[in-house]
Parts: sequence; C-alpha cells; structure tokens
Amino acid sequence: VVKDIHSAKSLDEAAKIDPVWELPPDGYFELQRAIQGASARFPLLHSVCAHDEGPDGDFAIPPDQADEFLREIDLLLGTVGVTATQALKGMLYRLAEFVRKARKANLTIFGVAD
Amino acid sequence: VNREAVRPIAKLAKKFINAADSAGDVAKSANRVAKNADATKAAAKADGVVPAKGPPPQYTAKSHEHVWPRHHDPSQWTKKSKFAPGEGGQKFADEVYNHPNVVVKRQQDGRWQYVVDDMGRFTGSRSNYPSRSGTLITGPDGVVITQYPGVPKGWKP
Repeated sequence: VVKDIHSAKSLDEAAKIDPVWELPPDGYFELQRAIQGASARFPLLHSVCAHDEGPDGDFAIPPDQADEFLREIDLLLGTVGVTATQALKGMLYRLAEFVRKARKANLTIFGVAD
Repeated sequence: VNREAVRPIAKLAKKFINAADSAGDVAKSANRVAKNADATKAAAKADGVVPAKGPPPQYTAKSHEHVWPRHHDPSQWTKKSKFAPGEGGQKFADEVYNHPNVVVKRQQDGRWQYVVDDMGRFTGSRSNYPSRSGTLITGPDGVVITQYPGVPKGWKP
C-alpha cells in the first residue's frame, strides 16, 4: 500500500505536484486494525484506510474537517492508549501536523492510493 | 465371587473402554486430517501452487480511468510507479493473474491482491528505479481496481 500525501487546493493541482509524505505501511495497517468495527466513531480515520487501493482508496481532509479529524486522532489514541505502537502514534502525529499546516494555508490534505 | 452380580459391572466397564478407544480414534483421525492439511499447505507453498483465486480480471473503462493517470501518464502523479510503454491493460492483468509464481492474498475488504515478484522483464519504474514486478488488485467480482509495476509497499514474498 502506497498512499501519497499531497497538500493542495484541489485533486487536479495535487496531481501536478510532488507529495509531501507517504503513509508508512506498518502504521497504516495498525490503524486499520485499531478502528476495525468502529468506523462510525472514526469516520474520517476510516476513510484513510477503508480501502488500500483504487479510487475509493483515496481520501481528503479539507480545512473545514481538520478539527474533526484531529479530534478523532485524540480519541483513538486515548482509546488505544498504551497499546498503540510507535508506528501508529508516529503516523498519526505526522498526519495531524500536515492537517494543521494545510488548514492554516486553507489547503486540503489528499491521500492518493495506487 | 458372585459372577451374576459382577456381570453388569463388567459390561459397563467394557462400554467405557470401547468409548475411550473410539474417542482415541476420533482424536487420531482429527490429528491425521490436521497433519494432511498442513502437509498440503506446505506442499502448495513449496510448489508455488496458488491455494485460491478470485474470478478472472476484467479491465474496464473505469479501471482505465483510475490506472491511466496514476500508472501510465508521466505528467501526473509523478511519484507513482509508471508502466513501461506497451505494458498494462487487460493483457497485463491476465498475465499477472495467470502467472505460475503469483502470490495471492485476500484483503480485509474482500478484494484480491495478486503480486508477481519477477515477470521476467522490466515492467516499468518508480522514481526512475526500474521494476520487474507486477501487482493487480481486483474486486470480489474480478473488476480491476488497480494495477501497477512494482510490489505493494511493505509486501514480502
């Protein structure tokens, strides 16, 4: 699974620029396990890892959903707590950082699947 | 010893012994089945035999709409792996699906993942690193979700 992370105004613009990051597979698969059966509680995190590839493997966090996304991350890390590995924590903290920066610049974070 | 009095007890004891033997046989049989299953799995792995597959791939217009910009067009999504000229489409999907060394996995969302580590030629590149591998992902109905040169990140043969 390779999901490139782009920070852009639109998907068309994202297609023309280099990604800012790439989701690491170990953290990604741990996220998938952590929210299994809890997609209703974590709809935005679920959109990140519901499908590994294809058009529905893509996800977007626009500026107006940034707060909700950050809240879900806090909630998940609070729920998973001490059992969350460094891989999962590291990935979510990094993603949160990109989402905060993007919100400040009024940009959307796009996750682009293979 | 009053033999008449002991006879029912002896009968009961015999029943218990028979029951224990039967249970032992069942356990032995279960062990045998489990051993056979393990042996079959091991043989399948050793022979590179694919244990199960989804339906044959169908490369549709929708598949193309997703795959073309990401894994063919060099002017878009420049960090994605790109097919070499002439690679891709239905032919590539069929080749990966039917390859004798294909490694098949069912994904958590029900999709099928087919990976061939070495297709015997250069299939494309990622960030200018050439690749000889091929990956195909199909839905449960066989429709191609995506395909690309290279293996999924984190994939191990």
